[in-house]
Amino acid sequence: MAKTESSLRGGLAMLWGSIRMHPRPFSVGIIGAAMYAAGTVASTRLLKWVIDNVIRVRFDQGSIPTRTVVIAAGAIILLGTFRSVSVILRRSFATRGVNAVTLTLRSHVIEQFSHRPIHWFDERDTGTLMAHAGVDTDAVGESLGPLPLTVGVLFLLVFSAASLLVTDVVLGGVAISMFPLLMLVSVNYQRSQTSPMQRAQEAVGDLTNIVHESVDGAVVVKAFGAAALERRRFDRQAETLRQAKLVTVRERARFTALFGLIPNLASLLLLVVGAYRVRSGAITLGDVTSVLYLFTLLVWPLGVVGYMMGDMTHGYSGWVRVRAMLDSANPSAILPGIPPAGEAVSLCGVGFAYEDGRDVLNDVHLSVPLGQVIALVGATGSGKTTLLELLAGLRSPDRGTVATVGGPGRMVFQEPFLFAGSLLDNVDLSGRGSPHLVQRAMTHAQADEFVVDLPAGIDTIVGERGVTLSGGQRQRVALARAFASPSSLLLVDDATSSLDPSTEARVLAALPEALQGGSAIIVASRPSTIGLADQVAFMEDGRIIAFGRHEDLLDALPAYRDLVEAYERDRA
Amino acid sequence: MSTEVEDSEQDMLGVPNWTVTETLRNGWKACPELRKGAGLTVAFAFVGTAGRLVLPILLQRAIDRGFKDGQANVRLIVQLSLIGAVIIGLAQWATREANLRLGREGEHALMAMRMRAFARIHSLSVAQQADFRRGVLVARVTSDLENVSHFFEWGGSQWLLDVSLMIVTAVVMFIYDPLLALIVIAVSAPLFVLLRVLQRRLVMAYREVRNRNADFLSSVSELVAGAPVIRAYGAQRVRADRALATARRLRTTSVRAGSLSALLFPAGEMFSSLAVASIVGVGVWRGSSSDLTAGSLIAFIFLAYRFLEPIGELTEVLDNTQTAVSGWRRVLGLIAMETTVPAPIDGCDLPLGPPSIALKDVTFHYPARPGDDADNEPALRDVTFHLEPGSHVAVVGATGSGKTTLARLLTRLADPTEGHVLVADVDLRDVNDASLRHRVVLVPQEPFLFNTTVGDNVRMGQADATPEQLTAAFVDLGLQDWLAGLPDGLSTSVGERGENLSAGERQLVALARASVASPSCLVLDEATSSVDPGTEATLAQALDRLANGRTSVVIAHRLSTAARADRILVFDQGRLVQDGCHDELVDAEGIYAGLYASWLSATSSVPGSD
Repeated sequence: MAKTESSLRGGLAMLWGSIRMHPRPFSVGIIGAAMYAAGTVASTRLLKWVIDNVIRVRFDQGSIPTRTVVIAAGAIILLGTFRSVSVILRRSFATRGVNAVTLTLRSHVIEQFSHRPIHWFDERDTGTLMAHAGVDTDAVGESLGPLPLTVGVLFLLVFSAASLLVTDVVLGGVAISMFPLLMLVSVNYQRSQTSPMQRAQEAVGDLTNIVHESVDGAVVVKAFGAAALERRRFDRQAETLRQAKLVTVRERARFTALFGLIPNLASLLLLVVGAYRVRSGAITLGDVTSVLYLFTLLVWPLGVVGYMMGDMTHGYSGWVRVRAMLDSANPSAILPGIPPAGEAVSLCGVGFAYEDGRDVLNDVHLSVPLGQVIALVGATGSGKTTLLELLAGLRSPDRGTVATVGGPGRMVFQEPFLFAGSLLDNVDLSGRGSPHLVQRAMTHAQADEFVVDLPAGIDTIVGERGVTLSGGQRQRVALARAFASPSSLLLVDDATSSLDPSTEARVLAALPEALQGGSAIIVASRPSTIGLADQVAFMEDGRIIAFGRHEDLLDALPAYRDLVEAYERDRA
Repeated sequence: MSTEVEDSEQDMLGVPNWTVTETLRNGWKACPELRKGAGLTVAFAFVGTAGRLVLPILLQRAIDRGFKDGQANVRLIVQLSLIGAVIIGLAQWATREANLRLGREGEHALMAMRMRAFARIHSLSVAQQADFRRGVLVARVTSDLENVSHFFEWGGSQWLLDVSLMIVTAVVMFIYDPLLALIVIAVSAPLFVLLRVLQRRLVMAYREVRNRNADFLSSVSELVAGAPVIRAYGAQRVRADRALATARRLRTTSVRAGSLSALLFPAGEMFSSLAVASIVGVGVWRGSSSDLTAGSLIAFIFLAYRFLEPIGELTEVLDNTQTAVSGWRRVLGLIAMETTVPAPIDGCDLPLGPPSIALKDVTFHYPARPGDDADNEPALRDVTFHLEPGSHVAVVGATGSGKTTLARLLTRLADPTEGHVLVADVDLRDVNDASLRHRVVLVPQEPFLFNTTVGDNVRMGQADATPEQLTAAFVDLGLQDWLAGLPDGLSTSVGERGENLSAGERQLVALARASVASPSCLVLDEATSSVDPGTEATLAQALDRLANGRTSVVIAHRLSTAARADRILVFDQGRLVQDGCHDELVDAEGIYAGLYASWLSATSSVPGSD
């Protein structure tokens, strides 16, 4: 119970915070809702007047001035128009308010995603992060949407209660006592639905995971004739999902029935009480009818509002998640230091461990003279990628100092990442490169040869919807991206693995020209790549244990020789 | 300003071009579960409407007979109310039954559709599966069907109950007073026309919202997945601005759709006030000249409200309905797809022992995809060769030479456009699937691992393999040391897509999986990803042991693998251009010698040794 109360208070805080963000649309929406409430109550008063002064007069006394009838009909239409306009006002401004708030939240999320350091991403899974931009903000919007309606219903309740009590204290009192009952039913329904709906949602999630995996592995499933097995796995989960859904179906059917039952029975009660009051001469038939009419009009808003209030917790949890992400401390940008004159890179006593405690780098020292190409060699897991990430300014060291000439180095990643968009956008990421620069980069990366065959050349749209490039083509685009982005230090993380040997050779041959006097550190495993470097840095268990010419290391270090020659042994 | 929004052509793959009515008709036909007891559900819904009509009818009775001359006959009104209460109770029970039945049968039908759609996915050929954009097939059995499910939960029930209510109310109105009933219907007629027009635009507007939402989400997902690249190239501002632009476009379209539905919603309200004004005007004008009474006139006011009230509710479910119909259309389209690799009727079994393999004049075209340009070159053309039983053959060629296509044809993941693929002298099209999958196994380039244990992944090769058999498979391949080095042995969890293992280790598991299947013919599409030298040697050894005693075809990406084969087939642009053993081919002029030379230079430890 305490939890419900605190989340209700939290829900109110969310509402208040959102209104303060964009007060105008919500205010107009609430004015519309108040107009609607006034119009609704007025329409019941009008109905009473029509019954007592038009219909009863005509049927009991036989005649009525035409003018009165025209006024009655005109008033009904006028009031109907007024109510319709107020609904339009409420709903269209509620939409504007909701979208303004979700846009604000989304913009904040986008800024965060664009500027948080990458270790912040390491610690979070993509699904959760995407939920902040998607379902969490949607949930906030969904629970804010009915805000003007909710406020309008509060108006409606107050106006109605006043109108009912003015009509007749007894009959009005009985009608008012039904309000909480109706709201209670709908809040209760909302609560009872929450956990079955969550279970159904989880079942959908589990099912989706199974399908994802099964579709991704479809070739393997087929190659081993395992489709029947997969079907069995899927069917089991589909049945689980159905069972979960059936619980919500039962709850909903019960609620719909209950929500039809209570107001209709209440109307009958009001009719009986009304009959007693008419007999005692306290009220007229018009009064009884207008009370019944008002009650009919109130059923829907009461039900919806009870539901919405219950649903606010859903939006609130989305709000809390997004806010927590937005409000968490934002560490300052990582800027490598400036190395001594004549050096491109200077690492001194650098140590780095991941959040989960894995020690990756330990006391790393390295000085790279300007203009040299360095091959970084080491077994898998020796810390090569992390070292490059430090040099690219993507991570900051836990210990020691990292200094690079001309700001952070440009890194080419092992897995090329292409954005949905044109090839040009992908190569010229910052949007500032000249066509000449881009063209030259494409040539150096040997990307121009396949690009000319594409339907729209460099303007071809790549990514999910467009042309699917092969792994080697993607790597060449990633290399072109690095070449097109002027920098004094190029960092290449095994980014030629998918190229066939002859293309790789051409890329490496073009490297000195692409560098234009800059330095490069290249993670290399093939001897031909290593052979191209001026010097080799050899890593083992998070340290650089040797730095020097390839031939010297071959002679001096058996571990190095073993690693490099593993390829040659395999060749025999 | 009506901007036609098209779903991308890729996403519309296999989606029939049906109208709403056609979709409903075909869905009805394709779903026996839905038809079962549907009549009874509708009957319950009609009975249920009585609950909402009791009040107006009772009011009429009470006014005309209970409130005579300003006096109230309380006894009569109490009696009437008690009868009314019983009717309401029964009606609500019927409403509950209608909703229960709708939900239950709906979920039952959905589950059946889901299972059929999933089975269909796996029965499609690999080429057909690959034609779908990643995620589309998943959506078919999940979100597309969830949209239909939401409809059964909400829109479907609303339609059923509201339409029954409108029909029954109209009938009651006609019984009371045909003239007034006609007036109510005449006054509401323009509303239906207006709704029809606005509804189309609303549907369009919501579709645009969904498209913009997809754009927004994909731009945000790039911010997350591309975080390192964005930072390494200082593209934070550019990418953030692009994402912000998609968020703004989403806002604009959402507001447009919301405003349109804001116009639509009070239409029922507006028209009911018109109807009430007409009823009062005409009713009062006619007075008691006909059999019209004050009671029935007042009852009519309530009836008109009941008749038009559902319209506001229905406008709320229009989008929900439209989404469900398009979801249903997509799923029905998938279920109706025919596989391009149909199973033979009474297929034969492959004989035991290593088979011979032959291709006879094989040409293969990938089917043109929607949106592709016309120049669809064949992936393989006029390929003919014969491999002896038990031989070890490597297939070599540059990217796009047709190597992977060959692997697919040999394992009947696709059928040749022309010519024949023969295994043990039998055309693969005549071999029953179970025998084929048992005798011929493909180890695909990407050794896909499921998010379970090492053991379960290997067990895919043979569903009833015991742990001992699984271990034996590793031992046979010389991988016992590797297996022993795993934290939990066979029970080690591989993680999502096998991410707990390195690329090379995933290959090892894939080989063990093939080994436990004990095929007589092995087709292996070698992985391209770089593997560290230690694992590389282990892999090579395991591969040799796996191929031993079997006919094997390896699509080689490393020439070291090719060099070890008995025979090498060299492909270039879909043609078989060279055929021979390593030494012959190295000495001969041609593609292989060139490939070998450049590979040699790339892996030489002494710079400039070429």
